[in-house]
Amino acid sequence: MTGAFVDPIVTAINEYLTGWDAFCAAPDQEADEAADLWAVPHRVLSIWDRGCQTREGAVLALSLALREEEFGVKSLSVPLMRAALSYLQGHAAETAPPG
Amino acid sequence: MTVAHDTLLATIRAYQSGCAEFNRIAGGDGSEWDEVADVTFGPALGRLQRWKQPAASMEGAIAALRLSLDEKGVAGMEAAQFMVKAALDYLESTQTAPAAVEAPSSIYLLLADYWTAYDALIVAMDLNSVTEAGTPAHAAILASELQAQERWNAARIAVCAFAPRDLHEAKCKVQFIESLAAENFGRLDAEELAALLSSLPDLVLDDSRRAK
Repeated sequence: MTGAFVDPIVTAINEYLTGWDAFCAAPDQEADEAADLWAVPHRVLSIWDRGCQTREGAVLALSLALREEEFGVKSLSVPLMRAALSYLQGHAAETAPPG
Repeated sequence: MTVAHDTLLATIRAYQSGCAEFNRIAGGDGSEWDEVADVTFGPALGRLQRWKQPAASMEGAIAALRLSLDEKGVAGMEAAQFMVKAALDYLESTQTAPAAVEAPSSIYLLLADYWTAYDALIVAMDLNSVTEAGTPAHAAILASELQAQERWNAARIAVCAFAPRDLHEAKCKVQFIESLAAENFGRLDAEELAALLSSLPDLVLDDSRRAK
């Protein structure tokens, strides 16, 4: 469907998620260094100002936005929701049922 | 254009028009605000705060996301999570079955659904009135009455939102709307009105097609 193209937001979200897992698994004495693994992609996502380019990206963005909303954290959920909204608005006509 | 009726979209529109109405009416020292909220945006917000279903259309998913980002919508409220979930579930459902298109309903099926829901609600209310409050049985009956109420609400709104395809369907819908209004001092509530308005663009479009 989308071939080899990878939506940039998918890359950023995956970096954040794997970084977070690595941070959680890191021993206490390495926690400070390991924090960068999630903090850097987190910073990238918190200033994300482009729309998702694929449906996969939009699904991933909304899944992460939902998780962050449940934690009560707005710094990621708002840009992620905006990115997904932008994708949906761009594809509204395509997916409308034939009238 | 929305062909299938999206109850979430209708509820969001009802909430937004309720907010606008509230802002128009509310004033003074604030002592009467709760009462004004109860008759404007309150009921629709109550539904959004408990929303568990996916959006049924792209338009509904977009409206849900916008509402959850909007400070004047539900941003910061618990409902924001439900709106994000509704949009996400819509996207995921269309991802697995992209060609699925809901079968067009007819006004007759919708009315049958309405009366079935109405009967179930009456039975649930009767059961409620003859069961002793505070017992486990009563709690279960209250829950099923709430479910019946939700289903009846959805069926009522589905008829209001239906775009008739011929004169017979249009007449059935008019009779139904008239009886709804007659039971409510000649007026429709905000959600009914929003659903009715949402059916109008489809009517105009159909007419223009027929003229071709």
